[in-house]
Amino acid sequence: MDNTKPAGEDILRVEHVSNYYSDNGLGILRNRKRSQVLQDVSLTIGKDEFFGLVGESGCGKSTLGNAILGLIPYEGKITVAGLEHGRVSRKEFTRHIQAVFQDPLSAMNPRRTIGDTMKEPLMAHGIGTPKEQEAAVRAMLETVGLDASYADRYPRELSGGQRQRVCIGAALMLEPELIIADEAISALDVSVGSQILNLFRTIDVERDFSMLFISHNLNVVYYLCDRIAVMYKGSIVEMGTADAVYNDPMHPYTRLLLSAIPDYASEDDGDRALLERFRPPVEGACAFYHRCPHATDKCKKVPELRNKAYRGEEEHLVRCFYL
Amino acid sequence: MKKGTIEFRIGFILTGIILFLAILSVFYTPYDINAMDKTARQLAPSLQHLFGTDNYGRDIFSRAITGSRFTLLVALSTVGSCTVIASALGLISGYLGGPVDEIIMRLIDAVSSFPDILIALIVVTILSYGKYTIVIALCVTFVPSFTRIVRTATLQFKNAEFVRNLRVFGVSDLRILLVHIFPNTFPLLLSTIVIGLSNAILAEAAMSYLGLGIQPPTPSWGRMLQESQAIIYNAPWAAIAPGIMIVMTIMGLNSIGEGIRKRYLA
Amino acid sequence: MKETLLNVKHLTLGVTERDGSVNKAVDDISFEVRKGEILGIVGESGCGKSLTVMTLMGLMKDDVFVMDGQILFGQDDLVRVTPERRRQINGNELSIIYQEPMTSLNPLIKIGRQVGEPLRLHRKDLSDAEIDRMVLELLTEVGIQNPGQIMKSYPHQLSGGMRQRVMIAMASICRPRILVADEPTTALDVTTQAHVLSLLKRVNEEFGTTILFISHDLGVINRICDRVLIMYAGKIVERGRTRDILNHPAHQYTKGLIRSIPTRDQKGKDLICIPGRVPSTMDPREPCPFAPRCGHTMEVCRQTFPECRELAKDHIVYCHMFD
Repeated sequence: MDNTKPAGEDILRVEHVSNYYSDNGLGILRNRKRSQVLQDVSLTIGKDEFFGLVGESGCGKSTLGNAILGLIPYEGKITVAGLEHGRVSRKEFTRHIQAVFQDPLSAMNPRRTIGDTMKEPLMAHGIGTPKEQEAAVRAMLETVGLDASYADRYPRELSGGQRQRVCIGAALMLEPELIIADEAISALDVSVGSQILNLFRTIDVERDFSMLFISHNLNVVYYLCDRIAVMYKGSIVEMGTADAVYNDPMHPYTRLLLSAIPDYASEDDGDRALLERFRPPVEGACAFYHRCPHATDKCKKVPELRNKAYRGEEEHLVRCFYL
Repeated sequence: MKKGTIEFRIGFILTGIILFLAILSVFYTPYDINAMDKTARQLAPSLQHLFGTDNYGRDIFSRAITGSRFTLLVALSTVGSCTVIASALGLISGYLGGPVDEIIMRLIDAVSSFPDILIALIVVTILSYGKYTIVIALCVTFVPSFTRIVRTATLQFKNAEFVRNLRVFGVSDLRILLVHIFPNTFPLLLSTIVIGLSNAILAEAAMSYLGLGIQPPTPSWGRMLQESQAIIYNAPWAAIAPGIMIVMTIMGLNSIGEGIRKRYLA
Repeated sequence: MKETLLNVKHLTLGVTERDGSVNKAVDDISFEVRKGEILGIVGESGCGKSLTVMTLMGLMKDDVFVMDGQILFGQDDLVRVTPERRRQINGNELSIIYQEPMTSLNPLIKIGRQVGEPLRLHRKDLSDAEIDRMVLELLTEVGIQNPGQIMKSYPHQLSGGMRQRVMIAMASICRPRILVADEPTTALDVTTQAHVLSLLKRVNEEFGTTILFISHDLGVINRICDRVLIMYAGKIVERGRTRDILNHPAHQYTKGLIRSIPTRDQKGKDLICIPGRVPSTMDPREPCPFAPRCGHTMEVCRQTFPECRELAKDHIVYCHMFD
């Protein structure tokens, strides 16, 4: 997983995607407002690239994942392996993109065996005879580090880590070009999460696929991914190689995020994270304006995402006037 | 002990006794159920007549266990047909949502806004008396509540994460609905069916009591209760026997239903 | 040595499983909480850390019961107190905050009233006006900027971080001797987490409240705790000062847990993780519960649970490697 992968064709292209969420939950008790979740998001993921998307809850990172999977409506253009949503059937689309979600237990039908669940994608696409499907499932179980006999067990009989291995195996069954991992290790115990991270790395060596790894944990994203985008309030505020974003963060929000991560090894009490300035929000200002320690009057407009890489080697996009 | 074991035991014992008697009545009854005996009218329970005799001198025990056959048959066919119809309506309504859901649910609301007895009366009147007209009548009154339950379960699973995952796999909607969502509604549906059975028995008794159910001389528990009414002060046992049978069946079925709820749904 | 405030002696908790069998979820643990400290309890799911504090609060679920042991708190044994005495203690001398502040607040009652509730129960001599004044003061102290307005709000109108501040205010309004914090920042974003941690630290320093802090995150523990207990499968396996444990872990489980966390310099390398899975209470236990996952298992590990070994002052480990 070096950072100098050849820039091949793009597996995923997200171009100017926006998404609105209309809140009409309780009718008269709530005022209907159309709030924007994604604001003009663009990104591309190259072949065999691991791309990390980081942000706090409600920043729109999972919404973007669901939009890419075609599970929710959006404005803009998303193409996966050259296919655009709406132009091809959902079934055709799913051959190229699969997903792993946060909670592996609820991601499986509790009344079907592991084998049944893993066979489902093959059956949906009519791949192989029942015998071949059976064999493929058993081989896949071994690939994700489980015994082939697990095919006959039920999800509740497995531990959290084993279930997540099954979900990863199921996502790999169709040999997709892109896998979206949405908080795939967040619900797991620390010692099990690290096993799953290792598994992703092993599979990456054996197979060709790209991954959009969505997480709130910047440490994990840095560890696993080649490039990172940081999202705040529905837009990307910083994007670049993992090293650039993690070791040389430029946007004040990224810096805040990094300093807030509690580290078991440092003596530092992390109070730098408290350097936030809270000021009343201004309509039409930079999304981070009300918390930014560096905001000036200039920041009452929305900044563009611009390349700030000073050595001009790798692209390092930042959405900030301060720099 | 697993949760619900006590309920299951009580339930199976009670319903077991009733079922045994019902099956027994096919092969053997102490007396002919319709044989009248002027010399043996309104006899109190004794060794000869376990539950006594009625106004015509007929043996109540024989009639009560034979009656269970008809009552249970009506209840089973009502709940059975109702389950099929309600599952189809509930699954379609819950999964498709939107206008289809709206139309089905408003129709269901319309049906359930009339008193059950009134609907049953209308159905019986329209279809004229047949032996099992009451099954259709009861079915119509039961479908709304069953449909709502299937629909609620469908809605719950429609938004489940595993369904989202199946969509990502590229599985078709029909398969998601029939193979993945429907079986997950079974535990809830099963407890509804069991409780539904006991409600159907009560409803059949009520209908027969009103003279809308099984026609004489065929015995059913409701019918027997109605016939006992005239002689309730002289021969209370004529009402008590079918009453006990009804209570045992209802308690049995309700305990099973409660057991299912405790073990599989709680 | 500081005064001991709470003393847990040989606590053993049983759990009734769905099939009616009884398993030990917490197995003969003993520890003490010292006055004025922040004591962390760390462990993965099912290690018994939450059950232990729930027993402390007398809030066990129906299927959990005390099989053996004592929890000495002042004159009382919290395992055997009468319901009346328990009502006097809870909220007044012992209080708790949870992971999900939204579900711990009554959605229909205004914040001001809820925060004042413990005072209304335990301090009958105070008038409503005095209580309101104290609530207002306390809300200001926990870093709420417009306390007057917040007091008139309902829980759903507040953000997650705000709600947790409100919970902390509510839990500390009677100046309890011990505040139990059960994963209080797990549901929060990292930046909010930093604020809540610094607030808890202030509560500890300014009010002198002893805090029992449950977490699975060693980073968070490092930031806030003076001492820490490491729990695994119902046993305490190591305890000591936080810095000692994190810098010089002795137990193989503690070592594995620390190595499982991806850090800056591990990018591109495999994580060294603990093999196997986190045991559930249903799994059969070895005398030393970590034996099946430990790389250094000896014959004796499968025969007896190790004796307590004091490696350094206040650093205790339960492992046969130190016999």
